[in-house]
Amino acid sequence: MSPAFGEPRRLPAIPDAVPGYEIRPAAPGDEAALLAFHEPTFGAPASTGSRPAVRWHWQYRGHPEGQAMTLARRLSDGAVHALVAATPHRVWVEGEEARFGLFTDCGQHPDAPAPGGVPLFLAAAAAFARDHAGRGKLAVLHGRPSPAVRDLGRFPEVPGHALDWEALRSASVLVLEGRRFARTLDALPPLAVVTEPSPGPEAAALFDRLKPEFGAATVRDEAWFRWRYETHPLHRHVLPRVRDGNGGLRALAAARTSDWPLPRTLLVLDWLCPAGDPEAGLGLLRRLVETAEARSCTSIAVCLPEWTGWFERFQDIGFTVRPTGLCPVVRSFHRPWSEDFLRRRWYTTLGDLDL
Amino acid sequence: MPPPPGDPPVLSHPPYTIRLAGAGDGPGIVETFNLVFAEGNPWFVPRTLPEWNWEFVENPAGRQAWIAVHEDGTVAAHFAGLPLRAVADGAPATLAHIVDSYTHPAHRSGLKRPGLFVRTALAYVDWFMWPDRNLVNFGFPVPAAWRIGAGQVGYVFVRTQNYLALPAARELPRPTAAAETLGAGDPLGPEVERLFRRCARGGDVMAARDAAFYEWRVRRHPRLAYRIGVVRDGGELRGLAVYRDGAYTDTPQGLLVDWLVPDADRDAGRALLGWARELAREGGQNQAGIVLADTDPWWLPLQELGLRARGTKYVLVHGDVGRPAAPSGERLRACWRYTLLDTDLA
Repeated sequence: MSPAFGEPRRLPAIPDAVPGYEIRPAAPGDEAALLAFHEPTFGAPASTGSRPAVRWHWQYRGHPEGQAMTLARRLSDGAVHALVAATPHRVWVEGEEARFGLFTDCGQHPDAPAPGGVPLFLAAAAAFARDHAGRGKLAVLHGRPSPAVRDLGRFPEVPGHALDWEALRSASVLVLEGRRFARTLDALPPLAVVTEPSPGPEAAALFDRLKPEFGAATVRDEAWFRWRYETHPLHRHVLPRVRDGNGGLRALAAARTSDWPLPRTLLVLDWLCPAGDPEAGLGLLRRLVETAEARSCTSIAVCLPEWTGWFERFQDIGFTVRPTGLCPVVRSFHRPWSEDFLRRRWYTTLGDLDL
Repeated sequence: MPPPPGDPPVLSHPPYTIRLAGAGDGPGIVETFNLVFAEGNPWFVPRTLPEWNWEFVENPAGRQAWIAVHEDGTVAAHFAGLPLRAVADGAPATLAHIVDSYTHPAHRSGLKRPGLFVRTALAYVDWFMWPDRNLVNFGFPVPAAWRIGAGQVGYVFVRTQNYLALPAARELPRPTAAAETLGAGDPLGPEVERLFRRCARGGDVMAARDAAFYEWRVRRHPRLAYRIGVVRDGGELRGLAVYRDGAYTDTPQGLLVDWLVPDADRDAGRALLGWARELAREGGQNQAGIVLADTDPWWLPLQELGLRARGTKYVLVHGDVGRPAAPSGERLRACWRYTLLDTDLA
């Protein structure tokens, strides 16, 4: 029954325990039940990009920072009915290093109960936050939950969200259409660009040089690049780099072919180039245009925050800015790194998401 | 179910009464407004009663302000929206820009659990925030207001607002159409509404435009001076834009605060863009900016004409208190078209 006119509504309390379920951190032995949870929850892998076992192993077992995972398992048959999982990653933020968590597999089985009207998922999420979130643990949780999962914390006729997730931004994408490739190449300097061997310690040195331009950014070092791009089980990436002639790097990108956001796109997932070295960035972009042409791609796309110098510079070259529909969410557990601060100063690329 | 239309309830929380504001409440509201917003703001320019009357009484879409009044007559809290007549999927609707939410400093602890401000906001929520009254309740809150609004008014995210900027030095493709500036006495008639109907697509949510709206919002604005540019085709309008020199997202610039051009008529768009660029040059501005949704049909064509997308400090939110049939953030992101003239930002 609705409250009287002008009277407050309250979000329901999230229970610590749900009868008939155990809510706990994932443990060895849960893997089969977790994999069985995926298809009924997220749909068939082919249609959703969900997790076949090979991707599962890459995401969780192969990740240099390990995993954080809380599940709700039905006691009667052991079936997993809710899962909250995040991939921890190191983040340079305001001059210090912290750990953030990227939500990677969050969802609720269609058979999951909602005791007292509160979905089981919220109880698992609250337990996850108690175990893993906070200063000194995962200071910030972020990701791109499906609208269905995101809305599990909302209740009819009650304002607010039980998990306090807040949208980080509506991500834009810079797109260079193929009809502009030839004219763009004319404007870009030819520089020596390497793609082999894999990025080594010089990648971390480039990141260290670049990070004062950001308020926060995922630490992009040799291990991260290897895990994120070279060992990815589903996609082959190319990592072109401009060297500085002294063993270091001036600029680095990571890209692969994709049908998002447009068919036959060379999707640039990462872009590391100081704003003060436009020649290196433009030379790197030249290689990306050449790669796109060689792969018969009809566009190049890159997502960068609007406050970066390269967001403007890419437009000068002929890129246009379009909406993506991507709205990552964020929840900060450390007040100085507020959602608003992260919105304005966190350098994120598509490489920060599980795309 | 929304409360039945007619006279809204009057809520008694002694020593306060919470009720819908009437035209006679202007002096008390203005007095409290000026007290609240002068705090810590040496650049604050006090609001006048004629300005309040223009904004809240003369708005052709109506008046939407709830107030808490102390028994001594002081306006102790205020929660308001600026309504806009609109179309949504071709049907009439109302949108409201949530503005001027405040509590008198001497009354900030006036009631407990919930406080006076929250009780005033809840009255607004329960009276206006129903899809068949206000389909959309939007705002660009600062972070603190967002946090409060998320809990009380259900603020949900629509988008981080970007805008498009045309450098004043940029040369533009020459149009065949010509844009002209309307004089203060030049009549605006039913051709404006016909132009609006040609602009609004079937699935759009869009604040309505007609002569009455421009007469009120632009020509009778008590403080700001705008110029209206049009491209004519005999007795009809091919396009209409509104410009003023100002500032947006802390950047002084010329502002195209309204843009009413059918998306198929690129030539009229080029003419009005050139008109705005000339005004920006005359005003000594470095650029002319225009705020649109990035899903607006003009978002990409304007970039093709040389405008650059830039970020702003603003986040667009709308109040979703879980009403059945209320639009989601996704839906609004996809189909809601707006300009700065729908807001009180310019």
